[in-house]
Amino acid sequence: MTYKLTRMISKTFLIVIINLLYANAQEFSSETFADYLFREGEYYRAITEYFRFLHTVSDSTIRAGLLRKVGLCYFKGGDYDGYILFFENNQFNFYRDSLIYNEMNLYLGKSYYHLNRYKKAIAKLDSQQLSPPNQFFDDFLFLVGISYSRMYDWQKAIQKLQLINQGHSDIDKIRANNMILSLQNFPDLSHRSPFLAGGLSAIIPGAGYAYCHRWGTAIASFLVNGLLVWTFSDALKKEQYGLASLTGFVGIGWYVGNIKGSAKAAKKYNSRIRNDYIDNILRRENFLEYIKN
Amino acid sequence: MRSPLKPQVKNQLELYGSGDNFLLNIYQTWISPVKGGNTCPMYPACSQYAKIAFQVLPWYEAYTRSLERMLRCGNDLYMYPIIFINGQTHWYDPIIIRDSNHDLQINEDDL
Repeated sequence: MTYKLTRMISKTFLIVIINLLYANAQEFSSETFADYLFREGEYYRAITEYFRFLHTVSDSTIRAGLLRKVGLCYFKGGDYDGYILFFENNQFNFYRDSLIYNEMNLYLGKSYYHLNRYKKAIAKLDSQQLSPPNQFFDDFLFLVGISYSRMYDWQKAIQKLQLINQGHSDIDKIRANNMILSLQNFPDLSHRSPFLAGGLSAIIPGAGYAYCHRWGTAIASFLVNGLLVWTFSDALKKEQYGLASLTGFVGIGWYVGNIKGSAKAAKKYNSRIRNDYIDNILRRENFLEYIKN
Repeated sequence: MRSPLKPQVKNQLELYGSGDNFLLNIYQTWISPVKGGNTCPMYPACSQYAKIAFQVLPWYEAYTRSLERMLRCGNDLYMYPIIFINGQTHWYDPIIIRDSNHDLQINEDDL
């Protein structure tokens, strides 16, 4: 009797063990398939697979790893808004002091960077207050530095980049120093004053656009404003006050638009020159791929 | 086949709707089709740009911006990113508004 009972218990135990192994194998295969989709760049389908897997797992460490993968899918898929939303909703699933949490925050900063929301990127990264032993310390500093450079605050950018010192595999001190040297030339870049551009367009319509090398717009602005001023003055001379008021109303809009547009063209000229310069530095130092991934 | 990626350029019409302006509606419904429909190389088209401007900006700001856009229309196109809409090439020149609700994807220095 005791022997039968022992055999029954051992059989049941064996069945339970086999079932557990089978379940684990199934989970493993699901994860592998999701990873396969991830590797193939099928990020949105991979997200579905990872979520399917998440429903079967209760272990918080595995869940955090899977949620990280989902976040990476959003990021690598180029859906930066999606990543931000996903992270904001799921950040409480990560331990605050864990490396995964730091890494997720790094991607959050990168997402804001890609969306050109540099202030937000800096605020999010600075709020983490990482200290040197952390392996993401250099990455955070680098991203904050280039965000400052995108905001044309080159002095703060240099300050941040100078703190990089760990010799991290992706961001080494030599390339960071090269960036610092290049950023020091920032003030020497070609610059157009928005105030001067607006002033030039106020004196001669279109001159501000020409100052910013927008030749087509400059000619259009000069001709349109010139014709309207001529029509307005001619109508006044001939005492055609209806036509004068009509051309005056339209003309004043075009004239003011030409001044404001010239000032904006100068700002865009400056931002284009500076962004091209920063892009060239990043390309030269092989940082573009790092920021994308 | 890879999943389609979400475009990073937001559609102005999605953000602000199609806008509503009596005079511009008349232009778009009755005048524009006579000259062969939307032939504006920019996106949004100048009339749509003006509609959105009048919807979200004070009239004097919208008025000057719309007229200034007509000065820029078709000129110095190298300044604008190219986008494809309904198989046609357009140059993307959205109306840029400092608006925290919509949080446009632009460099803050360009404002």
